[in-house]
Amino acid sequence: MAISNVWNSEGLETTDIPEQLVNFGQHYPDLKPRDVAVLMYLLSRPTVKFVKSNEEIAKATNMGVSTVARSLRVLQKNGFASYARFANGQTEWTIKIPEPKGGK
Amino acid sequence: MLPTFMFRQKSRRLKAPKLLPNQLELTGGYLAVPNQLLNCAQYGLKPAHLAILLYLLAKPPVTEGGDPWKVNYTHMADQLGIGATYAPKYVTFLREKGFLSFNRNEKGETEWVISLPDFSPKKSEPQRENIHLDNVHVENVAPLITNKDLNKNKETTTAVVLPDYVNQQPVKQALSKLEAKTQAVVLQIMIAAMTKGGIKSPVAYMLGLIKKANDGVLEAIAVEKTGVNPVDKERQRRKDLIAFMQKHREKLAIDFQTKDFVRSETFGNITRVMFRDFEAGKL
Repeated sequence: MAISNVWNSEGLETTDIPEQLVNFGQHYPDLKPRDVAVLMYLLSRPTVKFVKSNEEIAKATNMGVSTVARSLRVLQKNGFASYARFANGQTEWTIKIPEPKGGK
Repeated sequence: MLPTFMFRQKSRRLKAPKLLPNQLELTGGYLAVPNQLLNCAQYGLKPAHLAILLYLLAKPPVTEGGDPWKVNYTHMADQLGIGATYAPKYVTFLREKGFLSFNRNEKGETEWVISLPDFSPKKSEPQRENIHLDNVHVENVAPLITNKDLNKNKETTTAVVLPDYVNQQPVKQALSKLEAKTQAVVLQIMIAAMTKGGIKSPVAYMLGLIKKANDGVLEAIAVEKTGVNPVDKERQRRKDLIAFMQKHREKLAIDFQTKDFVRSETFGNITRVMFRDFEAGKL
């Protein structure tokens, strides 16, 4: 499932959010609104040279830093986010949208 | 806020979102959401408010003669994983923030309108330096020579690039007291002196020149005022001196046998060396 950040003809930067993520309660029942808000914010950020910061996410999504950390753990558990640590100490996060589990 | 699209509600049922131009449209299973809206904190929205807003925006448009789309709070709560009692509260919050509004028509239906902020990028205006005209005192600004004035006076035909030391505040003030013609002369002398070199403090030298011009001591200014060239004046004085020596030649010769100089009221001190040069024809 591809997500793209595009500039439309009016110069407005948009993010294509899949319908399943909009109706996340039906397709991803384990997610809460706060988790989806964090996920959509991360999807809206540029893919190159974006340094993830829990404080920045918390500031953008009107949440607390600990809530953002908890949301990231939920996203990892459900396969939306994963990270890899390298020998030089850097951490590379990967955000993806798995196939819907189905639900209610 | 730009109206994005509308939907109608009968009693507590939300239904029939009606699309307006420039709306967010769900195409190919994707909703193109402005990134600014995802940065929901700037609008004071919590994640649940954003989820409801996106849920409503993602509803498909109503076609002419088509069956209206029906949503209710229970369905909304199920779709978004929130409590059914919280959904009306979140909608009320969005209404208070101006994202949602409604109008009741004669049929008893409620027509809802979803409005989004104007996300179009603002064109940045070119930055201009703020000039505070209150701080500019016209009387303190020196009437510097412009090309127009120079052409009018026909003194030069080329533009004068003012050096930095002319823009110093004390020089500006002193220069402003001179006439435009005198300013040009002072500047020409100053530029010539700077070209020659050896001036340690241009500002002090410039102020000295201006003082001389004010006092009328500056040679070029003195020529302008009296109309007599100092060189010609010195040449005339020498001719008069030679004539004086020829007239009193014998007497001077006797005096210089015992004296080193002779005092004259017209020419001042006449030395023995000067008389010797006169005799040799070198004066």
